[in-house]
Amino acid sequence: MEPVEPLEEYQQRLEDKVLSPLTRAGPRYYLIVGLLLLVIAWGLYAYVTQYREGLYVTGMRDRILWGLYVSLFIFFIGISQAGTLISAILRLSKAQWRVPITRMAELITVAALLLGALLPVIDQGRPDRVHFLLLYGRWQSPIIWDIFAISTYTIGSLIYLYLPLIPDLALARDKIGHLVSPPKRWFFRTFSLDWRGTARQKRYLIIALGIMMVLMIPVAVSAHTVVSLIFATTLREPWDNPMFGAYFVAGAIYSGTATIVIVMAVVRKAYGLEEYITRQHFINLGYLLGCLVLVMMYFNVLEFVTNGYKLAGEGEMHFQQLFTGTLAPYYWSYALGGMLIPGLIILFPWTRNIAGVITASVLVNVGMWIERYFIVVGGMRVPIMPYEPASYFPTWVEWSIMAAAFAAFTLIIVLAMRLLPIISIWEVSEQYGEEKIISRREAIGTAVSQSVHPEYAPTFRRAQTTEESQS
Amino acid sequence: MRVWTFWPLSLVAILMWLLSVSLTQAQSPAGTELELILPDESAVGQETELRAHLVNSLGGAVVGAEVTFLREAVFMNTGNDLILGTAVTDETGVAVLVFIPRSEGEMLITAEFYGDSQYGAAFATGVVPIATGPALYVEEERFRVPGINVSLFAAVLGGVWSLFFVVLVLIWLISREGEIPNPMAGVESD
Amino acid sequence: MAEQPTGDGTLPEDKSAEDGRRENLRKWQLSRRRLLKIMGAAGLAAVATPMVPGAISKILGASDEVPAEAVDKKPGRLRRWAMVIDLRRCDGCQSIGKPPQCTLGCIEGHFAPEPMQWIQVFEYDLPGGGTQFIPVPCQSCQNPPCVNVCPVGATWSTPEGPVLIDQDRCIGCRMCMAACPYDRRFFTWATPPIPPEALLADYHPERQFPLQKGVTSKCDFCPDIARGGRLPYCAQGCPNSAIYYGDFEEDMATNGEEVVELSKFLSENQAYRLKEELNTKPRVYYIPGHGQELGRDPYDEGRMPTEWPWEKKIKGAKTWNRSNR
Repeated sequence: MEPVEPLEEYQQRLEDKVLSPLTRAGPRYYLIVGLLLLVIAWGLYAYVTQYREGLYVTGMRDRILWGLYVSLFIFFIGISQAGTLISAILRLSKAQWRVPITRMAELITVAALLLGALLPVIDQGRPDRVHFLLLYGRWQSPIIWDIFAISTYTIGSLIYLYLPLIPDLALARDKIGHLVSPPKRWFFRTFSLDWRGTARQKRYLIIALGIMMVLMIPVAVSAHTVVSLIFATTLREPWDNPMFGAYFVAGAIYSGTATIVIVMAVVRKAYGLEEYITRQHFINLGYLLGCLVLVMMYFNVLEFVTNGYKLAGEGEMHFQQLFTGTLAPYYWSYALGGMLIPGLIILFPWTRNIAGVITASVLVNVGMWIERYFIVVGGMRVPIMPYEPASYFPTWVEWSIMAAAFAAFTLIIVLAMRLLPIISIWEVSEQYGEEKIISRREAIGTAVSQSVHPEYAPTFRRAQTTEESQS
Repeated sequence: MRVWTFWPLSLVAILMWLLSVSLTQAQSPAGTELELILPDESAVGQETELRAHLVNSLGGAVVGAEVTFLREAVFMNTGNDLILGTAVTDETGVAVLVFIPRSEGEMLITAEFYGDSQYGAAFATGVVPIATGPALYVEEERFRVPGINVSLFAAVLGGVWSLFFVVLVLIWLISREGEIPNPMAGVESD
Repeated sequence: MAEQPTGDGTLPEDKSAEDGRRENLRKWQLSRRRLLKIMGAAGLAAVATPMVPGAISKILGASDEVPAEAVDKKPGRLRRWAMVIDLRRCDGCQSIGKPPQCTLGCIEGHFAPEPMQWIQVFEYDLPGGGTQFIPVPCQSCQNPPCVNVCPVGATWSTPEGPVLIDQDRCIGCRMCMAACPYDRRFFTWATPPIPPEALLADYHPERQFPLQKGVTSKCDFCPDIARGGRLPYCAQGCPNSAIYYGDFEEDMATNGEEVVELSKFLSENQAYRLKEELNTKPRVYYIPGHGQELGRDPYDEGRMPTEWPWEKKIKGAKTWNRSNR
């Protein structure tokens, strides 16, 4: 039998691997950040143009009055579902394989939410009046529900990202605190909250995590449902659909899962985390994606056999434009490229591998982006009075702002990876400890005892040795 | 000279004309008079009784005649008469119409009998001062689901936010727990 | 006849209608300013507590009383404006060979920027082929979807009926435009082309000029000039007197030629409302027809495009199409 690697050694290796990127940055890092900043600057220029000229510079007009920005808003709020799913649902169901990827998932949630919340402001005709929403908000409006749902969700996911970070930040403070720049050291010291890993601290942390992981699921589901209500509360036939909320939530989890796979693949490659993020993670997420393909197809079929069966009012024109009309290229690239092909990739064992799952995820995300786009534009395009259907195509301003939004999303993750341990060290150690039949308490104890503030370290080191010698 | 020879003929002609006129008179409808009896005052939304008394030239009641009541309507600087309704005179010759005025001010009412084969036409006008009153047009209330209001909205939101607060308190507890009361004590005792 | 004191809120001829209107507007604006102050105070409280929207909506509810003061009536009695469009007399102005005069009148009266047709004449198909013309202003719904969804209370239904927009409040989210099932809301995508004379006017929600960039605007039902005893611009412009403007409270309506009893007129002529099935309860009624009273042949399609009379005066202004770039 293979000799079991002692927990302490395992942990040492893990810390080196995860914490070392926080201390040094190569030229590649600066190159990436520079490129992203360049894209964001271009987006800012586009936005300044739009602010000066008005929304005239976009492709939107009275009849198709929402476009790329709003579809991008739904898309970003959608991929924010990643964190909730992976870390709350899987944490709740005690799926152990989730542990190394929870941090990434939560980070995606926060980054996507920050961007998602910004996009409606970009879409606003009078961004200078955005504070009116707080001054004169009416609770009857779906937009106000959105503001409360998304702000609650953002705060919740920030807390949820932060809670499991506390022990890791303490570890970073103790291990690499002297190697990093003063602001970073200050960050580690302040935000690790004098974590020493005492029994009480651990108990508080576990209670807090328990509350949050249960709470985050309804909060996330409501946030995305409320996004759908912006559309479903109008009288336009293509959106007039009670299942819209559930459809949006399913789509959100679908694209969120795909986003995790993509980010996971990039981080794994960039940081050489093959040991921790294994083939099994990709396969498991692939299975999840496969299930969600079925859920998405189910919702699509459901729509066709109800609204598509009756073809009431403007519904006929809507289904015509989706299946054979102007929006058919969008619709079929979503239906085939975004659902069927990813589903088949996951289905067949010979394509169900790391590369396959990554390909499927990219396809899913592109497909879901297209879906958001044709939901918004298609719903608007159906004439509600006797006029010719309008046309819409985003202008360079909209494309630039979209590029900047994706760049900002990436930038937030890249910067966060320089600041936060990208894998939850204490949870992975704990899990390793459990797997190797080392008692759970000891595992946490070891993981935590090493994360003591250097000033007090001797005392605790000694205390631990006596404990060990006794056992 | 020649003219004078015809004068008896002219006399005959005049007599004939007088006779024909009197005969025609006897065959045409008898003259009528319409008297409009209006209340001294009324108000918007209040049932207002308009009475028209139709009598013939001899003062006798005209029974079973249809009287039309009209009001003068002026709206946005355009005006014409609007028909309020019709009523039939009873055995005392009185036609009664009850209507509910909707505009305030002096309302010019006209009662008109258009005449029939027996009686000639007649009309009368009068003014009713209409005082203001309650609003008459009531808009349908929208159905509101009981219990769905801002309090519910605030309660749901408040519930979530108070749980966030509990978590923040826990974070604060973690931080307080981390403060080591007397770290040097252990070192010195060693 | 018109010299008589009417007591129905219309002004007698000897008194200037214009004066009355100014007076009304002044009262309106005063009370509105007071309201905004209250709203501002409540808004500050709003930041502190999540209960806010309720508190504000309560105050917004109070705002319903505001225009009431402006009405020339005793408390309790209000104008309940309504519009009846007699389609038997609408031929899309084909018989006079001009663009629809209601739209043109509205544009001139409101200085509506170029692509905006606050009252728009749509050509609907008739069951046996051919078309009918239907002028569609803002339907001023009793159950207005646009008012329901506005996040900042920038659009509201006055108790008199008209749905108004305060473009000083509008944040330009366009949710109301998505919600309107009649396509009757318009957005100023750029700085709108406005003739210089409109720029000097005081802005007022009942008289929406000068228009700002990045806000929503629409037909305001002209309650300000109606209170002064004048018909809305569209009704004034209609050469065939097809547009009746009326008041449900007094139950009268007029097209400038005759006064009719509103409720009776609607019932006797089988009036209908657009998209009745949506339960928006519009205040605009239509009497079915295809211009037969003017001798229009329903198979005679097409009409002149609408012109902006002051369009040529604006140099370098940005205009746009409604439907695309």
